Amino acid sequence: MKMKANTKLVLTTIVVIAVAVLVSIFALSSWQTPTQQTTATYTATTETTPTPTTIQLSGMINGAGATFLNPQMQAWASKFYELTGGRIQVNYQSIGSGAGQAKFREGVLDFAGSDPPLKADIYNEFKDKGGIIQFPVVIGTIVIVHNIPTVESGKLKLTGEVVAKIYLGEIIYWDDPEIKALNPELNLPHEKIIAVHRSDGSGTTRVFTAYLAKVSKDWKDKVGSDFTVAWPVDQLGNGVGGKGNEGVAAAVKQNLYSIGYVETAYAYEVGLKVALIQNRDGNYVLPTREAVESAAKTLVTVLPRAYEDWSHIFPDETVDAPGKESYPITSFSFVILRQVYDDPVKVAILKEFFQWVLTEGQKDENIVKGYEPLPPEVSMVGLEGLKLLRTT
Amino acid sequence: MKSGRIFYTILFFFVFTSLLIVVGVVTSLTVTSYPIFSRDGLSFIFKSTWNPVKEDYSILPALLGTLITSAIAISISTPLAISLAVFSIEIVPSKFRAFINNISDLMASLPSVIYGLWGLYVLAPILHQYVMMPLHHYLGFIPLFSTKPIPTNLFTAGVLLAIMIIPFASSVIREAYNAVPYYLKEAAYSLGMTKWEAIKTMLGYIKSAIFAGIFLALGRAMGETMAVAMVVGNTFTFPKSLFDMGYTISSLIANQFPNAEAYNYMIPALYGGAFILFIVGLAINLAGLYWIKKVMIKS
Amino acid sequence: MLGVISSLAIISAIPIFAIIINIYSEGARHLTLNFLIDLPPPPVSGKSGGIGPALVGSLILTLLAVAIGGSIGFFTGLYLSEFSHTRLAHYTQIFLQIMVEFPTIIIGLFAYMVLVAPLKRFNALAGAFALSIVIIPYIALNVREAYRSIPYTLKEAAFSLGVSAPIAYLRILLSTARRGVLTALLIGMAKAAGETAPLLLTILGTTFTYFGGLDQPINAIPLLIYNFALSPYERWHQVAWGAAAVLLTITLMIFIISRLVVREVKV
Repeated sequence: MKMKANTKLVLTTIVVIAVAVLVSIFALSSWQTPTQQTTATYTATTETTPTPTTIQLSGMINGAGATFLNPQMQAWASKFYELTGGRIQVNYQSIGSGAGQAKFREGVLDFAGSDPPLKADIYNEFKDKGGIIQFPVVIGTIVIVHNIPTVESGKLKLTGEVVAKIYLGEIIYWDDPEIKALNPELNLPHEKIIAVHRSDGSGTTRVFTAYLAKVSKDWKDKVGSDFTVAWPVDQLGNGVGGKGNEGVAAAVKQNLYSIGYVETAYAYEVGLKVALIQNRDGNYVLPTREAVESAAKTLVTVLPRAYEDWSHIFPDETVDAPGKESYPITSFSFVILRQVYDDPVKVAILKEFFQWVLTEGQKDENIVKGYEPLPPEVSMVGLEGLKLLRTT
Repeated sequence: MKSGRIFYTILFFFVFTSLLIVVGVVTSLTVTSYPIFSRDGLSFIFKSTWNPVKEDYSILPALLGTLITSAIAISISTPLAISLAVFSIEIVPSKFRAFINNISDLMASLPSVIYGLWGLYVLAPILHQYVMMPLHHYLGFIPLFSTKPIPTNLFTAGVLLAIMIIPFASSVIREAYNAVPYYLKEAAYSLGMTKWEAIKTMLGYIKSAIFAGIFLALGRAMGETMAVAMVVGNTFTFPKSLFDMGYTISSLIANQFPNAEAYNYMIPALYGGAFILFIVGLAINLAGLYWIKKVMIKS
Repeated sequence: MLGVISSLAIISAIPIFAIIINIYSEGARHLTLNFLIDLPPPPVSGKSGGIGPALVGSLILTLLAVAIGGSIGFFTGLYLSEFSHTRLAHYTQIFLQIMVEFPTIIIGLFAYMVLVAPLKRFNALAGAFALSIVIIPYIALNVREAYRSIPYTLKEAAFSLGVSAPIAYLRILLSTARRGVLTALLIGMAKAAGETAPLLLTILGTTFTYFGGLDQPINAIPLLIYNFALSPYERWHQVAWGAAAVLLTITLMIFIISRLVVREVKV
């Protein structure tokens, strides 16, 4: 008898939990229902009113892609959610630039975020399907970090060529003559350099290797630039892979005498030691606001239109920008949209959100530390591009 | 009678559904990985490059990483799993037996992402400081320990896997031990054996079950993804010592998948890795089932 | 020698305690009602936030997965137990055994091919489908054990009553095997709640939406842990630890319920 009672107790518990969960599901989903009703009203009026801002449209758009863009995009989405009183939900998830582009191609996303622009073959594929719009939304920089206990942050000077040689496995010790020549005042130890790199495919690696390929012919010929590459330094056993920025930062912290590259936002958050890097004009720079703006200004001269193919320009042509103050490993983060969507509500939401991102969103209070806002000329590319959005 | 027929039809329907799903998964695996095998053939398995720029892929280092971490996991977990099983049956007062078994079962049901978090932040630094550094310092002349270790490497992954698979091996052994006929145990003691000698005899008697338990645990170790990806070091190099960083096939998949679609052959290559893992898993399972069968025939 | 065995056994049980203590010492202070229902925070400014959408998503996905995977797994397990001599049962069992050890990310891709790509949208149903594939083998193999452990005499007695097969299996014998079956379902539930990899390719994740329908993206706790733990922001790390504590609590609750079920065997 006791057995039976116990079973019943357990079963009842489970049933109660299940019911509670179901009830809460329905409660929550009914929160969302008004959303869809307004959606319908909007659809009816969209043909007659070209300016959607006067109408309280609402709904959700789904985007995904670059991990690098994620913190900034979350900050924007969150602010926009607040500003619109929860009307517009911009859902962005970090799945990687490559996956973002591929899923965008397969049509399962409303927009993609990516560090490099859309690949040429995908761009061409969309030509017959109404075309695409791509534009920069924020500037990102990558810093070289190190873990030499005797050297403070912002003191070590490096050139792109030396960094390339370290990752090629040609410079092995910190007291190598080439590094010493750049840093006569520093006391560099005779220790092996552990070269930390990303183990997962990443837009950060794409930009970093584009920079190395631009400044070192050896790197260009032997390794090249991509989301992941075959790191020559690994073959010597001096390379370490870290998954994500987190993994690279952890590996740099755990390994004395290591070097690594991370997104600037990350270096600040984790408190890694940053190295100065020589720009094309021969000056040693850090990714300060001025250095990034200077680099971005020179990028402006090569900007295509939003509906054009950008793949041959970014990031291979634009890294190592000229300019006295320019920070060399500077690149844009892109948002990619289709020109044509079935749902007029989606078009309106995409327009409203990205217009905000390119104007209000570029103000200092909306930019996360470690990112830099776009110069107005660059924002214009996106603002012009958004005019091409339309429904079938 | 009619309801019986309907019942059997429903039964068949569900069995076919699950078989269909398995077949579907395996088919998707085969179809997706086909391009890499048709392009590279067996050199896909026996080279050691992973160079997306040149679309040149092969998985030998990751395969070795899987074998090495699993071997470490098995050699550590086997004595522990046997001890845990014997301890819960023979040594601990029967009051606590259920408690011990509960602990073991709880270990089996923790999500692997939690093992991974813990492995990265707690286990790896401890192993580095108290196990790997001393081993390297005093026994560094042995090739196995020759690399100067950093916290995340094949060894750490192996130890974490060992912790994760103990409960699986242990529960198989426990069941087999409990199934040994009582008269055998009595006979052992009546021969004047000590408790330890009796345990030894019993363990000898269930040798096959122990093997079966180990084989099943081995399968788990080879397929584990999330936890391993967090502690294995994730570099594509030919492993030369236990303290080298590396990849396992499943952690390679987890690491490379996000941007794999930017390439033409990386997805097939990753699936090719999974396909080989599937074949190895199949072999191990057939071996495991063979041992289990032997046990059943015996008892 | 017995001492050696005892100490080895104790060593093997240390990690589980260490894990529970570590996770709770990092994450327990987040276990407030607000943390359970709030939206996740932006990376820097604003309020501390919570895991509301992920928690709701995990509950929905887990229940759906158990409903789908549980029914398929249960009948498959019943078949494997009662028709173990057939070729179909033999092969099904081998395949299920392998599925248990399969990298689950591959199952995610299968679900993507079947349910995401055709619908042109990441969706909750695909996630639940992937999770149910993950748990089918666990449930089937455990249900098989449950039915196999019924003494042969009892089975004979059940059928000699002259009742039909469904009544014999689903009423009379199920009442004997119910603890094993319930345990099987709970094991599946725990597994579904903690699985990450298959969700990466199916549900996308959401930031502001708790539940927008089965054909829409949804979030889940393990996915949130994975995303936030690899981010640069301390505040997101805190959310990840808190989410890990919530996930551990859910696992422990399921586990304790399943132990209460099993305990009856010993009464």
